[in-house]
Amino acid sequence: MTSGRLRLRLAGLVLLGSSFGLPVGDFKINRIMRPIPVPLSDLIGTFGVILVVFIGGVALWTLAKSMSSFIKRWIVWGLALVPGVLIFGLSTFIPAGVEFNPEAARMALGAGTAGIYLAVLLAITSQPSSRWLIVVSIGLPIGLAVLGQIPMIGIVKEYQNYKSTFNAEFIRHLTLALSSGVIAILPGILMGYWAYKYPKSSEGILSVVNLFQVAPTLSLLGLIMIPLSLLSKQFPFLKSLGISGIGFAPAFIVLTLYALMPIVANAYAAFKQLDPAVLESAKGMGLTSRQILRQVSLPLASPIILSGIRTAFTQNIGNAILAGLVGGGGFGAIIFLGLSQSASDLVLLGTLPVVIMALITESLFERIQARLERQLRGAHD
Amino acid sequence: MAKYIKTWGLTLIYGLSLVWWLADTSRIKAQLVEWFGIGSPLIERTPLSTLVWQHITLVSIATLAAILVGIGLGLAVRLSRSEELESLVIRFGALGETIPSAAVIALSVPLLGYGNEPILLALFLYAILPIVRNTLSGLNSVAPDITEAAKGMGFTEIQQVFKVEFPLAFPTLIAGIRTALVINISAATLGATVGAGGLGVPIIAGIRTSDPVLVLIGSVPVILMALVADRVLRSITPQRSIP
Amino acid sequence: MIKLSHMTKTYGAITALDDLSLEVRNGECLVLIGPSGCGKSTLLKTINRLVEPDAGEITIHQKPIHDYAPEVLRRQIGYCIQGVGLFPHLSVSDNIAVVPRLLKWDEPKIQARIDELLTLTGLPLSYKTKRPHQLSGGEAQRVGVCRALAADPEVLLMDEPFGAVDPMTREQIQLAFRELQRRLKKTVLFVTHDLEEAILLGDRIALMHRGKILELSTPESLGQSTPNETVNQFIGADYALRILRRSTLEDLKLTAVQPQTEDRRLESTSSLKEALAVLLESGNQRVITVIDHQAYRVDVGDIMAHLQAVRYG
Repeated sequence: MTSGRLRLRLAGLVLLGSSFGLPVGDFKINRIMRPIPVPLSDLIGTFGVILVVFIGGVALWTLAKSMSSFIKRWIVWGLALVPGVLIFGLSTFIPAGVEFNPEAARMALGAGTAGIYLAVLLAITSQPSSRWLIVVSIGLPIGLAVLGQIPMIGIVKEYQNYKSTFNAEFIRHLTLALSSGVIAILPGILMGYWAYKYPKSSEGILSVVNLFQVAPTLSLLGLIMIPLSLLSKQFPFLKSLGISGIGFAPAFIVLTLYALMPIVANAYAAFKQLDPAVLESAKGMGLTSRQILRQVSLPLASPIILSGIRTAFTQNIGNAILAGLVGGGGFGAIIFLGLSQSASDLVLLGTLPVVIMALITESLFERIQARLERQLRGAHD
Repeated sequence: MAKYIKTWGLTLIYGLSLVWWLADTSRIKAQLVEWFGIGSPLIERTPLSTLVWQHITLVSIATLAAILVGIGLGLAVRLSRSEELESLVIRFGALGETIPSAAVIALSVPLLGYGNEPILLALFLYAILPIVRNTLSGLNSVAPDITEAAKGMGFTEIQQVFKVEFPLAFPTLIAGIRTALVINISAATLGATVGAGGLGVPIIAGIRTSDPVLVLIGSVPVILMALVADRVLRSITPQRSIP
Repeated sequence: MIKLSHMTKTYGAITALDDLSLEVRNGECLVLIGPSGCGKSTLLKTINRLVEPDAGEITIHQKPIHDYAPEVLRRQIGYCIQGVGLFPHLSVSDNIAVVPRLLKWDEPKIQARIDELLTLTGLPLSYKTKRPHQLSGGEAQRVGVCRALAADPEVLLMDEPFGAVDPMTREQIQLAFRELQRRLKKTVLFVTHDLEEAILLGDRIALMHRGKILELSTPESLGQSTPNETVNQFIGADYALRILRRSTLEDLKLTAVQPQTEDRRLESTSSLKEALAVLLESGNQRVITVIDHQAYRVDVGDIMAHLQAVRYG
């Protein structure tokens, strides 16, 4: 199996670099002090590093050879546990000759840890059916954090400090991203269908929707705030509903508009690629327009439409960060808070969940799409 | 002829609007303040033209770097003739696109500090993705008969890629550059959240003080620039006449 | 039983139908043929109202088609097109069942009908669960025919249905269709640009040109009524040879003989065109055929006589 060899070679290189060259941790006496880099050799000694690299190299080499999948399974499982173990080690590490207060001090994750994690991922994905192992490799550190086993790690400390805020913003962020995406689905598909049915309007519709994507999100946010605040001043009942110039409302509207573009564009393309012979025969057989849409056009267009919805959601999860600028909360609030305090671990606390959510959404939709396409194609003989 | 006028006409309108906006800023601002009824004519610390210049500089540096590196990477992957490498690069790219740009900017601050660097990095990374992808797909889309003919005529691997596939991949490549550039022009505004210059500055200031005029002052040039860039690049895309 | 009167349709400067009138008899297969752009497809589509004429009226069994809502009308007419248009996301049996389900037939009746149709068109019952993309061109077209016949319509409209199939499969499917039509006796309006196909399948042929019908007659008599330059050009000087395909040796008046060993034998079901070819190359050798255990001699003259009778009779 030559596929995967490349990844393993890359994994080896990255492992080498991370173990010797990059610090796996950055020890900070307190939040704002300059970090003391902690290379892997501090944790397990120089000899330990050589040993680890050797074992790692052997593991990768074994994966590259065509050996029994049983052995390989064990190896990738072991590799998946490495990040968790490493982080645990970092958390329990006490740097020599440094005076610090355990309350204030923290261990931030360094570039070396990222590198080792990358190497582990490369190695895992070089083998088939690795999806769950990726989850494990992420899940173990998270699990350890939840169980309170890695209290010294910077991100965990920040989480402890901002626990309630974190949870609140998590929900806000998800609500914002998902609801705006969901609202955009039906209008988006309808607009795409309209552009397809009336080709003269297609250029107009597509360029208007495109304008929303070309304009910077920030501009849209800024511009939406004004009429909203004016409206809520005029109609106080809106304010009681929570709709005003700042907060949830402007972010929601902007995100919905942004979600429209991929959905409309994909819906339009999806309907356009329908086989005209299929549509003509459907009409000739006596299906009404609505029956054709429901029984023929929509099912056949659904994979591409779904792909547009997937883009919209993934995009929105990222864009929702900007809601933090207008008081809409979400992880953006945490990120900007961290930026203003120059607390990189806080920034990380806000960014990582967003990245993970985006990746999960993407992966989830991919599977749904694959299943949909298989259903449409039918089981192959 | 009419089509010619249509394409360049629009570009001209956008361009002229942009110039007018920059030249007559204070008057426009005063007018807008009058219309909106809110917002105070702030004494701005940096004139708009400086901001525009900063913005253009940021975008140009990042995009240019992305073009060089992106095309280089694409060619290197193609020359390696390794399917594994190609699929790895594409998967990596797809992954990268899933990660929100705001997150990239936020993450690069601890590394690079405040200022222009984070946004440069983010713009660079984001521009690379469509460029590499389009380079690869453009090179791959060259019909196999053409590459076979080239091989039969005695081209070496390298000559084939540079003299045959690359020129034919040009239109797709330009399309990728266009996408990257237009997105970057808009995305550069985010830099202002972490201390960069550019047209994001008045926009953020406007958001923070609920001043629509400031937001507009910053947004209009950005949108116009993006539209101009899009039109110009569309028109210089060579039409592929080969079936 | 289908009466079209004074059908007119223009698309801008192009006249697709020019005051055209036509009557299709019950149980006949009437073929519309002509060069591209003569309006034959347009005429076909006015019957199931996919095209609305500028002027003219159509009645089926004396009932104007405008009395029905278009969808209701179409569910009573079978429609086959060149691209077939099977729904790719449905199985073969679900494709066939579309119209019956629209008409709210009971499921058992639908299933029985599907089996019946598949057998009629010569497809194995195992094909029911197949998907369109798994079928060959000819098989797909046969399923298309099943689908058109599913609700047992009286009328079938076919628009170059066998055009997208390769020539060998096309001949097979044409013969199969001819058999089917002989059995079911549907009223069929068939559009094609292939003269051979028209001759093989049509009870009557309507030759169209620029929105008008130049001649309407049986295949044998085509070109005989009024001498028309365009008609003669279209059917070609060798038309007589082509219509020989319609008859077999069994249609001839032959003389009975005693078979001899040097005789060349022909199947009685051979078309006259085949027979003529064999006769021309057999030279002095005798050619015989056997019908009901009696041998008959076949002569070029017999074929000539038949052709004369059929053409000028």
